[in-house]
Amino acid sequence: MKLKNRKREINKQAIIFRLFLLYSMFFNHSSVLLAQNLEKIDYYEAIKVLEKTEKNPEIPVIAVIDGAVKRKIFRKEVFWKNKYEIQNNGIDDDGNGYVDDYMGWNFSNNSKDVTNKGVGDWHGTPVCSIVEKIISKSKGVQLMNLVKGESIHQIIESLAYVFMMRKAYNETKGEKGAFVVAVNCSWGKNRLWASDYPEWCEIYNKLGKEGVLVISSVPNDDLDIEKVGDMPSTCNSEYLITVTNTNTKDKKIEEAAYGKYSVDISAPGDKSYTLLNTGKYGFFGGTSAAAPHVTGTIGLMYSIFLEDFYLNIKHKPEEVASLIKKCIVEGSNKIESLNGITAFEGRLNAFNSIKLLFDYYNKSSIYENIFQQLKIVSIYPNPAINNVTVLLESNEDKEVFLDVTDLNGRILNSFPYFVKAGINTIEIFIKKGKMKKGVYILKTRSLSGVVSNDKKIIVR
Amino acid sequence: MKNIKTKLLTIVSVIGLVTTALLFNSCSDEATIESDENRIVQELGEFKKEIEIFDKSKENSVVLLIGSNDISVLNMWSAKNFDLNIIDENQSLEDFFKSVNKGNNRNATNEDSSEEVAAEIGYTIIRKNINASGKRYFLQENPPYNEDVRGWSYSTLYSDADASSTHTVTANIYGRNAWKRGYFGVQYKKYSYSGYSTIASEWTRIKNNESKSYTRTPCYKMKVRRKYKGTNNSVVIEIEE
Repeated sequence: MKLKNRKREINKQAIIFRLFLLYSMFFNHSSVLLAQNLEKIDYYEAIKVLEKTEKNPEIPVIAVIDGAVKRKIFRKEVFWKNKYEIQNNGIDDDGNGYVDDYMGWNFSNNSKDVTNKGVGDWHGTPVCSIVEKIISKSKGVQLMNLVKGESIHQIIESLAYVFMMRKAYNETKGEKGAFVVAVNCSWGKNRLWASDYPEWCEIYNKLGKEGVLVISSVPNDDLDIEKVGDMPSTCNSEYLITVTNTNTKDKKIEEAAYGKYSVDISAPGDKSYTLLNTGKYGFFGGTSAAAPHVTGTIGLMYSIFLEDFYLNIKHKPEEVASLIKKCIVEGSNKIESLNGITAFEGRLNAFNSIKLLFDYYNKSSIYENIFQQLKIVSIYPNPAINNVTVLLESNEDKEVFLDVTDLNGRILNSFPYFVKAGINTIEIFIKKGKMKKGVYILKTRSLSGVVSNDKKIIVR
Repeated sequence: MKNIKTKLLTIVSVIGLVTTALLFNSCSDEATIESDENRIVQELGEFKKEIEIFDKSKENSVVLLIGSNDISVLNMWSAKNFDLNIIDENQSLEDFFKSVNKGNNRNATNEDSSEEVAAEIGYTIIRKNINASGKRYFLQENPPYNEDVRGWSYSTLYSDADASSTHTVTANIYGRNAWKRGYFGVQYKKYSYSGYSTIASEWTRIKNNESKSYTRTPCYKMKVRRKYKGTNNSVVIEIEE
């Protein structure tokens, strides 16, 4: 009888273990896909710096002008709410001309419905979810949902709403309006020229003067904007950042527009694995996915508290907007595939941009000593089958060995690597390393004898 | 006493299992057909609806079962997003469109391959009422997406599912837009129990005025997927069976 119970218990444990493995495999697979595009922009290094800084007491807001958003699949606190408006009372409480704009405004049908009656929109939701993912580890950034109208009049009206809200915020020292710092626009109108739309272009300058940057996607076509036109890409505004699309190998996507003067930088939007409007994770690509990486990074920067930075945001919002754009474009990594076809020839690097911001305020000490000599930050997937990725932190450029040991500490394999200061991504091919099924320990050591922490890994 | 109870329970369970197995076996054909139909319907997406489309003469019509995993996407599609075209039995899509509209030719190679799944619909024709003799029909999509947004969308047309060994399915694909690129992929199931095999990989580029045709026999089911931007309808698909 005891033996039967024991067998039953073992069977039950085996089922639970298999279910756990299945869950772990799925979870790790999702994590890998989610991490790829963020790794490319040195997001993890940027977050590491953020952890060392104080939080801006004013919560920055990012306006997303796009399709409706299925808000119920996001964390509630990420959405901005107009605290000067009483929800659904039919009165324009804050006197801004929009009745019940508590959650934002729908410019396509001039209503308060920013969720499309709760069902969202295939484009609005994933654009929002890319920004949300980037700001999720910030010290508090919120999203304002504005549903885009199709006509140029409606587009200008939606941008003017942001202008009005930030202007009110600036003029009342935060008593009214909203602290909007950036607007994401993953859309545009093909084959139009700025010279024909002066009013539309002027709104970007007006927004910039109040401290708001606009981030815009270029068309998903292999064409030179300067030859065929595009709006708003051809607007000549210091406060507009136009973004094209590259992949995680830093190649420009063939179906992405370019322009030596009209396109600023690229971001790795291709194959962004993100939350879709179905409520499930999946792929979303195109230049629409590139721009939100830049917008999210700007949100991260504004969430940092540095005394002078904070005072400048209050008193010189226009200067700060210019500075943030400078940090974004100059912090980008030069990449070959953008040579001669974009203004700054670089791909977004969130870590570099944040470092430039600290340098400007003479606070480089904040990021100088944040990395440990050697530290394994994480390993994924774990359990692993074919290959495993190790995130390894280092305080300087150096040669290291990544050792694979058994549980008794006996070294079974040793892989040499050159790591840079920051968080490095190292990929180990399990078959190449002749690792059979079992449990192993990974650790790293430098030539000077510094040894990292160790992490267990299961090979299946 | 306890042992007798256990034995009795075991016997009853075994008899129950055998009876259930026999019952299922006796109606296995129907069960298979039903599960096949379920599978086809499931492939279209979580949310579904029927749409009836008429040709210009209003004498011919087809009924589509259209589905998507995103209800907001499904809500955007209606009869106005499809044109039902009636053409001569021997006329090619190329001839049909040449007679309708002559476009210029501006092509480039496609090296992009992608797996994005935002904004996807799937559909299959479930009923048809084609009265014109010596004619065949095909559907042309007019996607309802906003032209301004800078992401990709997808649609998949499914053939009927037919397990007979003589069932032949042909997918005719035609590129008809000089300015907007079109991409497609074709897969088929040889037998009801097979997995999908790739005939043309995603994403094969179709140039303006270019025609491609893929035939398989036996073919349990074929599906043709296309990728486009905004209101682009540069890839025209006809499934003949």
